[in-house]
Amino acid sequence: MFKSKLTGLLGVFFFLCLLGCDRDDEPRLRAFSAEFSTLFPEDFEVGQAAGVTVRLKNLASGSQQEKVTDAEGKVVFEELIPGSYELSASMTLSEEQAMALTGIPAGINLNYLDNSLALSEELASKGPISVQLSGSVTGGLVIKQVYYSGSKTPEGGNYFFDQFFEIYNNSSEPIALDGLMLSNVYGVSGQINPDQAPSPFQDDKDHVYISTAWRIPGAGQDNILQPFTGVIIAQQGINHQAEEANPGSPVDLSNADFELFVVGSTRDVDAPNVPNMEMVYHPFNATFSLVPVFGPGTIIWRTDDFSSLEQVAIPDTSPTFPQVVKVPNSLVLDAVETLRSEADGAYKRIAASLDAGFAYVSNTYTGESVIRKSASVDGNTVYQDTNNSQLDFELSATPVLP
Amino acid sequence: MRWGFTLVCTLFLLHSLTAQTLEGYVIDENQLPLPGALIQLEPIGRSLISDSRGSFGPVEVPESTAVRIKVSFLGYAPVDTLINVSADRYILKLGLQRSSLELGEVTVTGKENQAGLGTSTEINRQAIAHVQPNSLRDVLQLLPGQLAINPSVNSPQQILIRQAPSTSAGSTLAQLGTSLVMDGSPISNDANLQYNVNILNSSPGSRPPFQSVSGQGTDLRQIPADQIERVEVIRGVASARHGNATSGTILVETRIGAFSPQLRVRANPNSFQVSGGVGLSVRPEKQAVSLDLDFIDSKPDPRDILNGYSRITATLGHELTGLFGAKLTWRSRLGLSSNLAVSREDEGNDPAARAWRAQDRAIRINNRLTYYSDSKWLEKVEATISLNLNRQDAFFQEFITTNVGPRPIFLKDSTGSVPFGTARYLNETTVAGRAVNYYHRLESSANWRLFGESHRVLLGTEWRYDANRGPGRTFDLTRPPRQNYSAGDRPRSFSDIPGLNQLSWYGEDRFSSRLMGKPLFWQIGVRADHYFLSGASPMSLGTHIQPRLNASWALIPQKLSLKAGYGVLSKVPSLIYLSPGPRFIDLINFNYYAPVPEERLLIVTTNKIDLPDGGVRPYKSPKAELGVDGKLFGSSFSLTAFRETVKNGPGYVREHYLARRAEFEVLEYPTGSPPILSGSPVSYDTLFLAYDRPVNNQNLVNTGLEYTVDFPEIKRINTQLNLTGAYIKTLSTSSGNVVDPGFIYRYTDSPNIPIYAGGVGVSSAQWNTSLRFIHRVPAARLVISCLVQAIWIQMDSPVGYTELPVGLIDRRGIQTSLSMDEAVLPEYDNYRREIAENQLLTERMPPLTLINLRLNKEFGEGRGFAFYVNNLTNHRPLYRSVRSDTYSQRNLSLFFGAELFYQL
Repeated sequence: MFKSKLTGLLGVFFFLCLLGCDRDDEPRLRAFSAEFSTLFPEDFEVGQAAGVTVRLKNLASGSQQEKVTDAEGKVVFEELIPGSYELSASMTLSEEQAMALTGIPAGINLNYLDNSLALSEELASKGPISVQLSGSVTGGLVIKQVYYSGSKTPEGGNYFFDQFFEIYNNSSEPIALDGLMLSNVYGVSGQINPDQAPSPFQDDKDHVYISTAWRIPGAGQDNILQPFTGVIIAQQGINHQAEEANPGSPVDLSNADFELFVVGSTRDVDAPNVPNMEMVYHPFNATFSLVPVFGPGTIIWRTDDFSSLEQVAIPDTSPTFPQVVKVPNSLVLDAVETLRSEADGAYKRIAASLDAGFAYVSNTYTGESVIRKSASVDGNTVYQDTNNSQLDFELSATPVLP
Repeated sequence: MRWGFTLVCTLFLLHSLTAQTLEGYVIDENQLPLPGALIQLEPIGRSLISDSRGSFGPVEVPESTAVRIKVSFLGYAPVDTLINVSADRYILKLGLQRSSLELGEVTVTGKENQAGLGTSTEINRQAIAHVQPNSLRDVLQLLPGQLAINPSVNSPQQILIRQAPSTSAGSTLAQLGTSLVMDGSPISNDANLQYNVNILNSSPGSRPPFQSVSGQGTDLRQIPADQIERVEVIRGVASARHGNATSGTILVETRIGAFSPQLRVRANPNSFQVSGGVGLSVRPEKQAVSLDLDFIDSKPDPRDILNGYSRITATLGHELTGLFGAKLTWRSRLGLSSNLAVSREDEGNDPAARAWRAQDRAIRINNRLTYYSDSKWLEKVEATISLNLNRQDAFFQEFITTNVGPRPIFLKDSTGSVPFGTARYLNETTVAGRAVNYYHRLESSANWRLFGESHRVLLGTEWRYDANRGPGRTFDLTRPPRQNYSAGDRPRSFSDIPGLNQLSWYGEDRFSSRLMGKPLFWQIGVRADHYFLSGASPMSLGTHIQPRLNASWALIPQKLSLKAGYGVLSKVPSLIYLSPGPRFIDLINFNYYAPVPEERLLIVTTNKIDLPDGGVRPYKSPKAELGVDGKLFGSSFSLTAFRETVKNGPGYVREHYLARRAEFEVLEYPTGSPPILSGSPVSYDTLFLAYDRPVNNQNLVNTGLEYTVDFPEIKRINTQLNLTGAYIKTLSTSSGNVVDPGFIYRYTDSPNIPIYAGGVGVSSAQWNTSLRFIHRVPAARLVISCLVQAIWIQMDSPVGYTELPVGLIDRRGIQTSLSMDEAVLPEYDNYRREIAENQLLTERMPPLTLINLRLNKEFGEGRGFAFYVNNLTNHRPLYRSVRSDTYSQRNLSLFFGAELFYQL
């Protein structure tokens, strides 16, 4: 009896399969062309943006085309097939160009990113697809290096107390660091577990949602960063390569400039020779200041009044879970997005106007860092900052310490 | 008071009944007398043992009363019949047949309200065998309102009786309040101290890394089911003879006496089980010796050899009957058991070398002496004595990679220098408990004629004693387990654990009267439990007086009865709550990890918080129920509405701790040696910290409706239909205001931390129907049953969350309360608890069905095989949570198993 029932079920199943196959039998794919129109931010003097580099990447095949817009701000891509694309555009305005367009005498990076554009002949037929650029001022302080991956112990254990950040003065003027904030951006770094969703704040393009806030101490002029030099901010400013720590660590951070000692922690370690950053906001971890080894989102920023910033509850968390702080993009000096891997672009937390791309390392606990590409200008090392980490950063097999 | 007065008047106004007598004899299929059979008469509550000629009685029975007669004898199918005693002297002939699937009336489901007047379910041997259980837990899925489960012994097994799943604290409370009584004496879990200190960020009351049921009910997977003759689960208002339980009492009778050798081999994808037993009669036929053995080996994943559970049990039984002219029966059992659960990660996969094991080895001696008297004043005296010695050993290890940091070692309040610990070390922690549980009961029952009516009076006393003398929780102080949220961790010996005593007295009267000419049966009792701690500092925990009342009114005799019950039940929290041990707070006064090792200095202050013994109190649970049962159109039915509450049950709270931390001045930084500090502190700062402690803060309200209908067999297709189910609504909350010490890390300069109102919890509901089609083919010795289970309602929603604080605590520890009007002021905005709106949504799962199939087939008497498939259609829909937007797979996984049984 059961056998006949089973056979019946199998029969129905095959029938359904056949029906399914039937539907796929459509006409062959037709290639088409699509026109894109790049536009300057709304507050610029001019609308159409000429000379913008536009990149279109087919997410299924990985094939990429790159073109520059004409004087009208237009560009046409040909031989496209329907599917999901990553559309990005970028342009760097020199001080003169910026002056003409905005009246501000400072270099500006303009970017655009849509990491899942469903492109079809129908969409392309409706006229040029607009690409609205947004941007931020260049120069000054940049996050030069982030070492977040952690290292392996000789026993094969995972060690992550040797993380550090490097902040660099990319300008030719000295800059006072006092009051500069370093924050970790809230959200997971990729598909670490099957049910992990991207940050619920991803759609807010005007704010960054942070889970920590550390401030460089000082009355205003105490910590001056000379042109073309950097400071190291360690999670723990100790020699991590020592026997009692992790001989497998790539760094000795006992000469770091600052460390992130968690006030009130009964577990953290305080190195007397490394000044502590001021802990302004740290509700998620009462013991350590670690950032995700899968890839943190990091910003440096300034505010006169931290307490006036809005704190918001995280959707999908229990009512007693800590809140995050909502930082307007305008307060951010530099942002670096790092994610778990090349495939985790959907988990981007930071808006494209601050960082249009993301960097990544090969795996967790590899001892690798991400570091900006550099160029020598007049004998000084200047680090590339187009507000796109994908282009600006490269992988370093071991962190580089000054 | 007024109600009591009315009751008394009613009792006296009811006219007395004319008595009739009932007597009879019990014979086997060869017409030979069966001595030693148990004859139970309900609702009058008498129980008798047939004598050497198989005869019993005479017993007085109220006029025109339907009497339910149940006869049971080991190895024979029980007889359950309803008779109407019409003659003055009624003589019954009761024939028993050997248990076999050849019999037309094989019961494979639970039966409602067989004994006593409170709501209960009885599950007999054939029904147990049909479940093909790995443990007692599997048998209990036959109760109304319980959902079908896949048999599993891979994790500790507990049961929620009359409660829908809600908070974990609410479930723990219900499991703690479920009592298991085996062969007349309780199996106590009250001395189980197999605990661990919570690790970072886990919520209070979280389970340890190894398997443990400390603070909960007995682990039901440790009880094999093949030796069980009968299980009765009292869900309603229990007789006054049952104590130390608030959520239900599970009564288990295992086999003892003479029976043919039996062997059972059972397998499913996860486990392999062998059980067998034999009972021999020793001449002269007044003695019998029996032996039961059971072994199971199970793995959560058959490919994984590193994780598993095994259980070995052996029970030696000795039965002595017919002493003092067949008046005294002495049953003694010696039980040995070993339970071992292990888990280990593959070394190649896990450099942390995580592993744990939990072993329970127990010796149990249980004696029950029953004396049937001829005296007019005394019917029966029963003494039960049991002693249980349980050796519980748990172990866990981890190769910890952490940071170079403080590893405080002080065991009392002190301030001093402590070396920095290394970042990499192996922690090994053992928790060794030696639980002792002693129990005795002395009980007499008698039938007295008072005011012209027959009263069955029960009087008894009990003493329960639970203690633990184990070496305790131990580890190397310099290599501690992964450390706690702001609190320190230290070993603890169990040598100072007090003994938990429960001294009880109870009395109960069962009698009948008449209301509007119809019989009205009463069961009225009262129980007093005195709880106290013994040992170095004895203390009383209080005395709870618990009234118990059940009444049943036979509106249409044999067809329709109305029932009502009200009672108070009580339970004492187990020793893990009563003696929580000290807590430690470690404060870092001076943290100086210089590059040169000789110059390093770490000054630590350790504060020891002594949590007093007996800090939590026994708690009560009032229960009320109203029901109707009977038999209409050949279908017997039972419908019961209930409401049960628990107030101030034990739970855990995260208590804030204001730590005054001394700060020292550095006088000198010498080269090559540590800094020289000022002798006394130069200043203090205050830290807001926290630790977990047990308190009486858990509340439960369970309301619901349970139903069972046994439809008559459709003879043409040999199929019978059985319907059970329940609608249960549970509200689980914790009372008492709570502070949020984590707040301080959000606003490091905040002068205060907020207090929020208690009453936070979960409200949940569940409605299921379980329809069982039972198809019997006596000629082929075959029974097939098909369960169609539907869950119509399954929902839960958080309750009691408020955004506004009700008070503040400042750094001096001074509390100020805030009114609702004050709390909304802008200056307190920072103290609001932001709640993501979707977290307060109600999860409402759509209806879900499940189809299970079971089959038992005998080739000869007691020989055959059995087979089952759970979730036959592999229906496992996904549910998308409205709170977390994630998907979960519902229903049991497709599962199957088979067994062979053989009887000589």
